[in-house]
Amino acid sequence: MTEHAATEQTAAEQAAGEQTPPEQTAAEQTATVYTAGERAAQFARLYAEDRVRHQLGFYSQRRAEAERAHVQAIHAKWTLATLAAIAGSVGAAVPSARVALAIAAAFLAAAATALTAYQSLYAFPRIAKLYRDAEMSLSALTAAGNALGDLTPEQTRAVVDRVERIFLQETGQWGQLIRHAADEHEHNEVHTRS
Amino acid sequence: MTIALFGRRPRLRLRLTNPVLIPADRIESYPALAGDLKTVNEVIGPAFSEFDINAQRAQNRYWGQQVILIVVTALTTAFGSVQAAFSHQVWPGVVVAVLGVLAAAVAGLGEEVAAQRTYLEQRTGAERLRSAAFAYLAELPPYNGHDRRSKLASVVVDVVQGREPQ
Repeated sequence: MTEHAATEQTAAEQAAGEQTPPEQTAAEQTATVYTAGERAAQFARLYAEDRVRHQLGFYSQRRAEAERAHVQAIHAKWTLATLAAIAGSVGAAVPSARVALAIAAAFLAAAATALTAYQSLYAFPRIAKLYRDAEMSLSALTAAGNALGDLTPEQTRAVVDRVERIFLQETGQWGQLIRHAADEHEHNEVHTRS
Repeated sequence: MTIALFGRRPRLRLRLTNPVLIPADRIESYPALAGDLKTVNEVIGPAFSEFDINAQRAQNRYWGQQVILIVVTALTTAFGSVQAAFSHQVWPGVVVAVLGVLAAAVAGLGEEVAAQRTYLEQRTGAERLRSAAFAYLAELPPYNGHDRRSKLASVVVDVVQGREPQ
């Protein structure tokens, strides 16, 4: 940290109405000897590791999970609907098992409908797209900025500003998506009930 | 292949993930940032943990309510068919009636909307705080002046009070 930064911190402590603790840690004492360039380099490493990589990992994991869930939902719905159709057809052909198979068909069809509602509640395909888009924007930006450590402090700040905007934008879109998914799910429920 | 479809299902006993804004060992790893990391942990850390934990709880509660509604509605439909098949029996009609009342009660509690709102507010708040923490470390405006610590504190107050940070 530079002398300027150290002064800033002292002023901020006073502005916040707090006193500097009498016993500083070794890290704090050592921090005062760092230059602005060294601080920027350390920040760049921290940001790349704990913000960008962490968030990219999150997007990647959630996207993959949502894509798998979407495919599984399609397969499960198809299986349930097929079994319902089989139960209904066999029930029609076998009079002795008609009632039992008709009930089975009704439960299987209801399970397929419930799965559709569950799928719209979690909005798997749209979640996957949202995270894929955020992942691509972030990857493109960090690739364009190359290693953050190679940039000047001003350039690093500009990249950080843009990256943080992407995160806030993604959070806003996610909020809209959740609200929209809930509305859609409610719409499906009304149809199921009616 | 894991069952991703139900990976995020609501749980009766929710296992909360410990919120980590910035890992504690970073103060040693990045000594030039030690003072700012300490400030971030002091000023943002507690509020971030609260928002994050509340978001996890609200999310689980919201999904729980929705899944209960889905299951109850599906069962009502299915037992409606059973009632049609056993028209001479009384019990399927009773089951349908009970499920119908249950569905109406869950949907009509009004908690459904509140749970969703809480979930969104808490998660958005946590993400805003996380973003403020890194903006502070990057010395982005408004955290580039002499009063940067108090600016950070006022952003936390804004987020906690549900206001748009200035």
